[in-house]
Amino acid sequence: MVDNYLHPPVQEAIVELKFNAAKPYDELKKYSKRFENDYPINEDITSFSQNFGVSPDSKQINVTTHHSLAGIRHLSTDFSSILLLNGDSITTAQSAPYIGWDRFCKQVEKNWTVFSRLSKILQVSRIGVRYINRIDIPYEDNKSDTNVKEYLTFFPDVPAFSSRPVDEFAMTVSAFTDNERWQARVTTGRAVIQPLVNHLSIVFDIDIFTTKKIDGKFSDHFNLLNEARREKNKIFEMYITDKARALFNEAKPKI
Amino acid sequence: MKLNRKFNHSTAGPHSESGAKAEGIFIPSRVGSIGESTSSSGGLSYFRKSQLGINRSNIAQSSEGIGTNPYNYGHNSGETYTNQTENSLMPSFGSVVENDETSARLYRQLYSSLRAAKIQMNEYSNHIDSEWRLGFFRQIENLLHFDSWDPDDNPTSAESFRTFLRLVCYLKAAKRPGLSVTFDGSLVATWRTPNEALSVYCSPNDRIKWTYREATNNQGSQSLAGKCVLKDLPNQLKAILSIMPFEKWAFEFKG
Repeated sequence: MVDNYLHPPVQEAIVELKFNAAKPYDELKKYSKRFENDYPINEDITSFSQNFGVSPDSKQINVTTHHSLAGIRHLSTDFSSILLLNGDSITTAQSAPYIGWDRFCKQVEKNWTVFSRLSKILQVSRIGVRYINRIDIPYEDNKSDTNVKEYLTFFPDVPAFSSRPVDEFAMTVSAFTDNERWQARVTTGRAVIQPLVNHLSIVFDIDIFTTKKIDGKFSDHFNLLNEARREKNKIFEMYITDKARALFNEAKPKI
Repeated sequence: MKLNRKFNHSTAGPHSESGAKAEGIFIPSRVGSIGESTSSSGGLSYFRKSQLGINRSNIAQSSEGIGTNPYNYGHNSGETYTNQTENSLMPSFGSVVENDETSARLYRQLYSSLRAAKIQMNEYSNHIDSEWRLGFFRQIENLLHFDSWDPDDNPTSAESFRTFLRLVCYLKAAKRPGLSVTFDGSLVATWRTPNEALSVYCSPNDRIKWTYREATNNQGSQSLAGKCVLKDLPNQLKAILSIMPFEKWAFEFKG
């Protein structure tokens, strides 16, 4: 699966554990020190809301703005490892370069262990595992298009209203998987920013999550993470073609 | 409601100014001052928010919340860490003089610039090897170090870094260039041989200016310069290939 590819296309792997209890910012701030070894940088996450009210005679508009500290973002010095403490969730993420599931999962476990000991929160209400992939498809200099269908099995089948290539597309499907615990949301689309010259970059985003009753036992959370990962891998493999697999295994020279 | 910043599409396109034009040599404010290297050698773009109409509350906490990836559906604004300047966001990134608003603002700008550079570099980790990537991190930390920055200069823009990364991937620049910044915040990559220097000025949206200088026998120098969009750069350089074979600069560009 993803871990077995020479160049897995993972741009960001994310695991989020959500709970019903909410912790205030000041308390989260106290926890931050315990994560400093892995995440030396921290930034406040500010939430901002604005309400508009119109008087009955429509002559006056009242605007109130609310600004508050919602959580703390912890980062490694290369900004690739991230821990997000919000009032009601803990999120561990790893952006590219991907370090593999085993190492990533260990980091999730470590973060959750520290956090649950400090916060005394054990009951999880939602688990989400999300992988955002970017597939960089090369094309020749004299061509401006490439056939995405050769790489993905999930692509808009649109009437040929033009002989020109599709400029933009984005598609999302959402459904329960065959394992009823899990819901999947899968999105593909052309990347807004195209990072490489003479390439078409496609984003392939798989989000697996459950809100069904989750046992309070610590070990169960990690069994569920592995289960979610299996569902994610199944979807990943179903949505790509052998040509895409070859791309991920190509011994391409890096600079 | 979270503050989101929309990122512009930065592909080559309507800015093409093909055809080499002789121009004066551009003198950046910090020419080749750091990290000249002899060694050779990184959520979701991704879509425009409006493209998908996704209700974020239904999605596992993504990099939007984590804020690492400027390809994202959205990206938390710089305000998230403005109140943390005095605590030093980035260890060993220099110290801010307390109660000095000018210094604090500069510190935040440099931190944002460094953050953008590293995050964008991580996105290229499937195309740039780790030695090159880590070497770039060292260079950029030196370049943007708070304690040595002239407050009159503009920190490098994220869009300039994007052009630089597209440049080195496009040319397959195995040899890491020296880095400098112009007064207006454009990153300058300089490759050198004992008697020659090729400098490429990376402006947003793939806009490139380049200069070539060669020392002559009488202790003077001769130079050439041009400007173009990134995609046209190899052709411009090839036009004077007799004096600038790509191999000399360790560009593995094959055309």
